[in-house]
Amino acid sequence: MIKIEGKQTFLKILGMHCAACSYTVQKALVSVRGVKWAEVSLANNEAKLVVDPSVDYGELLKAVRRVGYDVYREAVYFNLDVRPEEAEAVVKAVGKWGVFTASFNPAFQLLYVEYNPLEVSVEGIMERLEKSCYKPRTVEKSEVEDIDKKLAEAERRDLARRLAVAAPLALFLAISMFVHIPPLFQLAAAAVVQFYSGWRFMRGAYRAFLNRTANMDTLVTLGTLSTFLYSAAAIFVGGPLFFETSALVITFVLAGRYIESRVRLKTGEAVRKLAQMQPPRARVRQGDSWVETNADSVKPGQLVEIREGEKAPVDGYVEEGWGYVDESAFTGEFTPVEKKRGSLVLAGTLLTRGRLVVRTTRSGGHTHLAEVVKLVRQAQNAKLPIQRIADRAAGVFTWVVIAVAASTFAGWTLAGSPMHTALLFTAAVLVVACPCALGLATPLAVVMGVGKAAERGILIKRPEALETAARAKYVVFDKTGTLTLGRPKLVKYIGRQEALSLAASAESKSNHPIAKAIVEYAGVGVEPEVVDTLPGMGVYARVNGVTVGVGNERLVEGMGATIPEELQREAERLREQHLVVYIVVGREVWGLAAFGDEVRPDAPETVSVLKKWGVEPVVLSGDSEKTVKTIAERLGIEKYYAGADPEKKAEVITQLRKSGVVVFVGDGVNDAPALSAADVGVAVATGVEVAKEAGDVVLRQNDLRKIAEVLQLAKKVVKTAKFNLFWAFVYNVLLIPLAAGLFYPIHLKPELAGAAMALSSISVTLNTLRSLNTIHDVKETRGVLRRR
Amino acid sequence: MDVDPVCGMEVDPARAKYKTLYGGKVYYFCSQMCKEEFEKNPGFYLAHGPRGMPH
Repeated sequence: MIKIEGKQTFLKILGMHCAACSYTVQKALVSVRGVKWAEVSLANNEAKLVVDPSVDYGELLKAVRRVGYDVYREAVYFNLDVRPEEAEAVVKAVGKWGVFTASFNPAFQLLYVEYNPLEVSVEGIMERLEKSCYKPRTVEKSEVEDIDKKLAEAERRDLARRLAVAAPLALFLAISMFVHIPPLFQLAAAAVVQFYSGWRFMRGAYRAFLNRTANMDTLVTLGTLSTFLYSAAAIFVGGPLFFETSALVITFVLAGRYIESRVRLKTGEAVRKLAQMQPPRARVRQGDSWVETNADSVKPGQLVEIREGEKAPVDGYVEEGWGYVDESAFTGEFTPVEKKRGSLVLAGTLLTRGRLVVRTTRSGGHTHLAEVVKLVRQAQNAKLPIQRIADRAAGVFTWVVIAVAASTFAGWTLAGSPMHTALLFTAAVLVVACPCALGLATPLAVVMGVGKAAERGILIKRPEALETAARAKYVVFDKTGTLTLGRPKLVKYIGRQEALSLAASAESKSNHPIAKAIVEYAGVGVEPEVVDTLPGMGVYARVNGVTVGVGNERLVEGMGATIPEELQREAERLREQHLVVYIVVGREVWGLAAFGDEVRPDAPETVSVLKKWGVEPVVLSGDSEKTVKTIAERLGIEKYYAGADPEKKAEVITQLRKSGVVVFVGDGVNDAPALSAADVGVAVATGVEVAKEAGDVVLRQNDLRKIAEVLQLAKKVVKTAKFNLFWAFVYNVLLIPLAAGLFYPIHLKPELAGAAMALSSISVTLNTLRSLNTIHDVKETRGVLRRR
Repeated sequence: MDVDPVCGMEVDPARAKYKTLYGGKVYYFCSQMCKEEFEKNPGFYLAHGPRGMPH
């Protein structure tokens, strides 16, 4: 037997059903770096691996998913009180072994971990975190919905308490600059501010120190503690006192954090609102009466009553009743949808009219809404690729600042300044530096952008894709059906008008698309006496005693009629692009109607908006050259490919990618290869299983304008993130030298430096809130286009 | 009730699956076989009446 060095691990594989499957998975696993040996058993759906202890579980997961299977994993949320710039350190503390993904969202102070339950447990992960001196608290899944709100409130209360103590004392100390206050009184007041109000910073600094890192708290602590200790010493050995400096800095920084925590809460509002749509209580039928219970405990199969003005508490099918439901929570579309027996009603949708009794299919955390919220939450944890650089920068930033502070002190001392002057410059440097904007730049933008999008019926599953989408050069539509209504419309009629109303009568009972198009065009006619459908021919009817036939040539023949020559010529011409139907009355052909697939009303608008933005629309269709060309020309799309099968589609996309970023819009089911070949895949899905859809972005509504909205959103999110990063950079580059006294006599007092720092991080949050709050309908853009 | 012009069986027009249009009138059949037989030579059956099941 060959002995293989390494660590053994097991993975539960999902979705395997044959021996070939297990072989595919095995091959995929072996291809991952660090995997020395793998064996996949179909019998217990388990993969046994021998790996290098440093193997990347994320890569294992990716490899399995790439070949179309999945790995069973469990997820947990932890709440950690950490500064944004420590995000990377936290993720590192979770470790790699048994962990597929770990991401820390500084906006919510939530750590999300997906782990392999065969290898590690929640307790195990907590131990790892505690070893790094973090105090994790697990967060119940049901709590996740509003945990950020609870946390922010708790934080706000704590900040408010400390601020309430610091502010009057700092003011009292500030007066000491003008009025003599006995030094020992000053010391007492400053000590309270330093050790009660400033305790937050000292605690954070201590933990960072234990982790051998440094953060915001380290800087504030160093800056304030040094001036405080210097002043305390000065009472006894002589020298000027600066008790007001440390007290004011602590007050300003606390005030900044207080405001920031209020504003930051707003960025996550969209998802919270979404989660709250599911009512907590439901009326369930028990015997002959309706009993109110907890909506989570409703079992599938139970009947639930929804009255007018109420929101559905569960997912289910209408058993009895009728009504109109506002589904805007999912689709962003406010027009109510009619619901009758057999219709699907989703939890969180609002019954605007009527009364419904619904047979529950899913409740609680399993409803479609819960699934969407979960998806959005996970997406909000993602970071844009540009953030990686920022995180790395934030990690070393504090060390750089400490170094700059040290050289400032050395510099001023060497230049012959008294110790207290050098110390004040040093404190200003420590306090003015603001790494938090670096840490918050993209997470805030992503949280806000993903949430806003969800509100508008756009689910962003992979926010990283936004960065790519913002640079889109081509938007490829998967088929003509995406651009057209997919149902025929009467586009041309030649013949006697009365024949049309007779045809409408004949067709009034039929559900056939052609019949509907005729009725739509001519209106509902009189009730026919006799109607008969003849498969492969058309419809035969007797209206007011006259026989009427609507159909193809075979029908005309069956009616014993002949087609007049001029109509025949017309028909031949029209048949190039249309479906031609004859109307026979008695034994004569009275008219000819041509039907065509109509362009969706939102298509021309979307195409022109895209073009205006410099994005080239492309049609990539499996339909015939003729059909595709017609639609493309009508919409003014220059690039089109016809007769493309799924493989050809993927090929074309690969070609297009050579000259620019490709966004592919497809239905997600048939176009999986093309969706994954594109830089960004947008799946249009009106189904319920959103989470299972392929694609980076899922549109919940078949509205083309949403595509333009996705691009708009992508641009805004990236722009906001970049601006935040830029601001953080410029702010620090300008103010640190100023604080160090490089431009002396223009300089920054430490208390002003503290205020500047507080304002800087507030402004990043406010900027994000402001710029992403204005995601609007592309409809508004339509106004602009019209005006032109 | 209508009569299948080929075999002479009674057919319910409301439920008949096999039917065709000839000379501006709908004819109903009991089976695909009768229908095909009729379409081959409608004039013959209309002139001579039902001939029984075709073979």
